[in-house]
Amino acid sequence: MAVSPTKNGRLTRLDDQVTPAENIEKQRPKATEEQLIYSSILGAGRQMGLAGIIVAFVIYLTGIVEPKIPVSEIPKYWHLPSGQFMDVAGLKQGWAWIGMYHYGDMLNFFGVAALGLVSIVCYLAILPKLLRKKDIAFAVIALAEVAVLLFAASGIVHIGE
Amino acid sequence: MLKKSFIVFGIIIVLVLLAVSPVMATGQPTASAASGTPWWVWPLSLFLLTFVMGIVAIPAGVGGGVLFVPIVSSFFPFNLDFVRGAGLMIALSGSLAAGPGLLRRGLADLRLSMPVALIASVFSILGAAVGLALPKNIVQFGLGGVILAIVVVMIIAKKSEYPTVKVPDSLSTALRISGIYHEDSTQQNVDWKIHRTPVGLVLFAFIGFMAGMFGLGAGWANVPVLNLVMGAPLKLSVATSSFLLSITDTSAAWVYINKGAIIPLIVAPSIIGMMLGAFVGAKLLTKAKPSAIRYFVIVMLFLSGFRAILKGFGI
Repeated sequence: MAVSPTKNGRLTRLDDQVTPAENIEKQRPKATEEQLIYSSILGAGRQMGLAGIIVAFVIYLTGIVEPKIPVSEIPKYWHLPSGQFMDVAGLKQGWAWIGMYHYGDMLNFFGVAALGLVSIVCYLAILPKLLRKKDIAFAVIALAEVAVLLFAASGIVHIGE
Repeated sequence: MLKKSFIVFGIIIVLVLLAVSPVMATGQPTASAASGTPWWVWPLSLFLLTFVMGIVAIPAGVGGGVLFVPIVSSFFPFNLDFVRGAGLMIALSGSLAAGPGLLRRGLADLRLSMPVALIASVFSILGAAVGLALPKNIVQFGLGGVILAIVVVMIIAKKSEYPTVKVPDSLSTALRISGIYHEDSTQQNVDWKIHRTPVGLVLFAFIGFMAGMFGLGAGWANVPVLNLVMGAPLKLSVATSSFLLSITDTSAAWVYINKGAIIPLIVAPSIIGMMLGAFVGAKLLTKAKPSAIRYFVIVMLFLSGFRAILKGFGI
């Protein structure tokens, strides 16, 4: 058996019966179970959000579904502060875009929202694993993060009006 | 191969869409056309710009937002509200593009991320709310000052690729924040632990606030704090920072979304460009040496900070 030092001096045993490449693979640290769960859900959410944004943008640009604000009109508004833009364009703040799902431009917000919601799903998914491991501190951190993200998404924050 | 085809396909799709858009075909006059620039030039330019940003931002450990906000607010005719809203969304999307792979390979660490993400999230909401109320020049000046200060710290620091952590602090020990990751460039396993966790958490509160206020993500400050203050290895810091943005930027982004500071014509081409570029950038991260990434971080932060200072002075 050979021995290989890590950067901080910890020694790692190497098996002489296998090739160096196999040794490296055998000794490669594995991500934790909850990290893998988080990763797979984050990846899926990313795909959904990106797909939603691309599809909605295609619909918006091609004009297949009538937009609330025609694409040619947007440059008339994009120099305005957001609050003024909403007023002029006849839009409402918060989650009002859901009720305007039949407009091509509003469809874009579904993809954007998917990107904004995926982290909440990730945290909720790893919660059972953390509780099963009796990792109470990190379970509390996960729950607190979910609460913070839900608070942000709720639209309750309206400072700067 | 599949990803290369996907990237090429994505670029072609966006270019074709912009070319065949009925509005472009009719050539209707718009506000931007009145200044001599057809409207479609802006989203097309945004797409190309963010594609390049996506390639360089992830290996550099910065969110695309830190580059996007000063550059786009300088050269594009959008209100700063929409630039910051889009900046947060592209920083978020860039992080989402790289995050799953970094977590799976163990380069980003969930246990290191969760406590700091919680603190940063809370303060990013506060920062976003305050930032939307502040005068534009103050925001620009403050942004530039903070970034240049970080550049100075990073240049002065001698040990950062593998910081020496003799004794982990009691909080990180209690939370079991430590681990081992595989360094591809040297084919070695690197075990790591952290110290000064309470100081790091306080700094992440500050980082979260600033990220929300400026709308530029937080990679510009995450890496120095994780690496230089808390003692995490540079590559782990870069990867964890990239993943961390997916959480902290989400909370700030919701404030901008709910306030109507999101215009699909600005955000969509930016997100698509950033995500396609980030696929390339994430590949670079596993192959590049930590010192090369560090040089990227320093140069890119300096350029962004200098630009923001000039904007603060109205130049």
